[in-house]
Amino acid sequence: MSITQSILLFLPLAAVICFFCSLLRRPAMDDVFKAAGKMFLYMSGTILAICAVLHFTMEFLLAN
Amino acid sequence: MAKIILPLVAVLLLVRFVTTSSARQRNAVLLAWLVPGLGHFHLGEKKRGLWVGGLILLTFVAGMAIADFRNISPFDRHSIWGLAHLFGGLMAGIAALATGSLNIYRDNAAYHVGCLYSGVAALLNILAMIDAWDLATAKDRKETLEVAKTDDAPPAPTREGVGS
Repeated sequence: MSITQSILLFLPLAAVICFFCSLLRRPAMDDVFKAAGKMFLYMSGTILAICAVLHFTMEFLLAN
Repeated sequence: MAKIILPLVAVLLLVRFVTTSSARQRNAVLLAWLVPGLGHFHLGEKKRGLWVGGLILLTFVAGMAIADFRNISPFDRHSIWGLAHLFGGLMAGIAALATGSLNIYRDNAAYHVGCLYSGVAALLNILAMIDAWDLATAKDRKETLEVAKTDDAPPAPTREGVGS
């Protein structure tokens, strides 16, 4: 299983956990959840982008 | 040692829960354990119950599909995930009964990812149970406050009182 496949499999689970936690939130915790949601989005986006770039670079290098 | 201590702690926590909780809290937690989201339904939180139950069920079934429907088999294949599946209630029980006898005939690279999905879904049900318990506590508290308010209110004037 490649890194990209692994990430594509794990990201939905991470999203489910985040969404589930946001479902169970209380008004007093809104700020915490907003901050955590933003951090999750930034981190997962950055990791996915880095892995995609690495994956396609490796494929390109191996093909040529 | 852990085989003795863990069940003992579980039994002690269960006894404490049964002896210190109200009937509403007990029913909500028991229903939430049996069927994810049912505890919320019982408390009148139907929308939240649908979301919570649907999400848990979807994640659980997605995990089973990823693992070729061969990952729910408490204690004989993966004892650690079997422990997590205990919190899945009927959902995990029915899945174990329906798929426990299936044989693994091919090497599935994503098998453990499927185990993780189903395991996490069952563990998320603990959060749902805690949430149901918390909502039941809030309802109990609200009722107690309402009763206290009606007790403190001055008695309504009677016909005799008005006339005199």
